[in-house]
Amino acid sequence: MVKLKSNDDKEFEVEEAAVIQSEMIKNMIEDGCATSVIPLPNIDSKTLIKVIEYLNKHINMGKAAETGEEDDLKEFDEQFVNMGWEELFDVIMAANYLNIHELMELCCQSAADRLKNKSVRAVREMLKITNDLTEEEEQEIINDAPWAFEGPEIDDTVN
Amino acid sequence: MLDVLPEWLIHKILSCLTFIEVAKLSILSKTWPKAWLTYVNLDFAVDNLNAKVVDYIMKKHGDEKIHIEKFVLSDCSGYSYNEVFPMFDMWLDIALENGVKYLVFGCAISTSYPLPMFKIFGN
Repeated sequence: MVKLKSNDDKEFEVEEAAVIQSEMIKNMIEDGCATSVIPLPNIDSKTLIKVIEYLNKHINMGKAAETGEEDDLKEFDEQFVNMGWEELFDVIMAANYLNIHELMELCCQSAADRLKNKSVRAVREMLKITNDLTEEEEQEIINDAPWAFEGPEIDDTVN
Repeated sequence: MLDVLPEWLIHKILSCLTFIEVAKLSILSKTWPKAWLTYVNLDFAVDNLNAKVVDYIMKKHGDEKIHIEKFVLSDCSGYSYNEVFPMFDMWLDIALENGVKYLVFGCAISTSYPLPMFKIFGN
């Protein structure tokens, strides 16, 4: 077992087979630097719980294909990314810090999927972006590439 | 919120979107207009994208010397060779000049495109 400590001083025990999906921790273990608790100063306990949930589920992922658990994993992944934007970005930052490639890809793809076909207004609202462009500047961008702003599939809903 | 995200993350997310999606996001705020111009993976199906759009994007990358990592062109049905071949030549030049590493020309037109091999290996 490997012990991880979040930045709000909570400790979590994780099986080595699960935690080595993090390249960073794998390297630490290989270098013999993981003998006691590993402090993770960039990750809070709420985010770390999510990451550990992912690691535990994806343990022995290579075997999933043999045992027919691929669909199960796919379903888990779909459920897993069903979270708010802030939480999603927290998990992405943690996945980047811990260097967990698959988790990073999963979350970035989810972020991209949420932006697909959304209207500019909807994206601004979802991501809490303040529009600091003047009307003239906006029009200039539209005139530069008008094809980006037309089309029947534009979705103005925020979710 | 995305305003405060690191640039690498914005790019990572943008790379999962189509070019048109990325272009649309250029209007979000002042920090965004240039984001789509640094898009390095260009993957086009000319049929549903329109050769004019590809042409615009390639010229922008050429003019502003933006690095291109990947250039994929597929499905040019609906265009005749005399329309698109001169453009292919120009796009290929721009891609090569801008450091392309991954190049795919997969176009099924009645006449196949004579890939200028010397030009490609010369780079």
